[in-house]
Amino acid sequence: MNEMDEQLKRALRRSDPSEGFADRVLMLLAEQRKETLGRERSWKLWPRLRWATALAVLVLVVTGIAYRVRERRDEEREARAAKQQVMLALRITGSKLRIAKQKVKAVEGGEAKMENTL
Amino acid sequence: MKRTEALLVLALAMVINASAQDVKMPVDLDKLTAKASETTEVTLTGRMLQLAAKFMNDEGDAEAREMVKKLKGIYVRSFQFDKTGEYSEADVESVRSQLKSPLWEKVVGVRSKRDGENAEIYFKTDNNGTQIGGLVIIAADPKELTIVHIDGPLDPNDLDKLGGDFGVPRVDTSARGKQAKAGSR
Repeated sequence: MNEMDEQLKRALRRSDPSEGFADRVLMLLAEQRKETLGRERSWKLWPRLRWATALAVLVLVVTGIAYRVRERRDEEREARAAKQQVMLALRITGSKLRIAKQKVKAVEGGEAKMENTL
Repeated sequence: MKRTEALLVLALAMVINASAQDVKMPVDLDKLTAKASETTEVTLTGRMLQLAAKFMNDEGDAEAREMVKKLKGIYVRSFQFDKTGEYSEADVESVRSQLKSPLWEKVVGVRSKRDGENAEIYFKTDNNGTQIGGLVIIAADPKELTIVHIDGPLDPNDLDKLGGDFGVPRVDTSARGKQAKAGSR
């Protein structure tokens, strides 16, 4: 046997692993598996989150539109009531102006005492 | 110091209040509601008038809209009674006493002894008497009392329209301008 054979024999000789080697390998495997699972889960969750966000935005938009429509309808109802009141007030004012005018005219016939005229 | 500030705030509040509505419908007037067979009450302030003007888009509303847009307030109290003597002269006087010269000018005052129907029209003068800044009508009959206060600028054309285009016959008020300037009582 030459020198080279001797070196090979030494390098390839059987030797026991250090203490706890198997445990460390198993732990490492477990960690890798956990990481892989976490990554897979987040990939599975992402589309669900996206849908939930889109739905929330949609609900907000629809609620906002419905609120504006209702607000506008209330404002319109209030405005129509106010308009009716305005027209009523103007009619009463007009009718009283007309009556005053009639009374002023009646003064000419001596039926009333007039302080002034229109 | 605090007392002075409080007095200043009070004075400011009084000025603001006075400028907001210089003629107030007396609280006692509202008590007539219980006696009246028919009551009409209209209280419209600036915001409501602007809102109403915004929706006055029907045919024939244009003139009224233009007038209403300028107004600060419309106040009407009208009471109709089944029998005479349900309201007192003091009720009318509570409004009349607020309409003092030189701010207010009585342009019409008619008293009928025969049927007891009285009508008074007052104008508020603005800008040294060149503009009408408001109108008060007191119409008192034995069985009816109506008080109208229109707060805000009106021109003689508005009065013409009031008498004609809002569903009541037209009233000829063309002579009004001259009389208001003449300062007649």
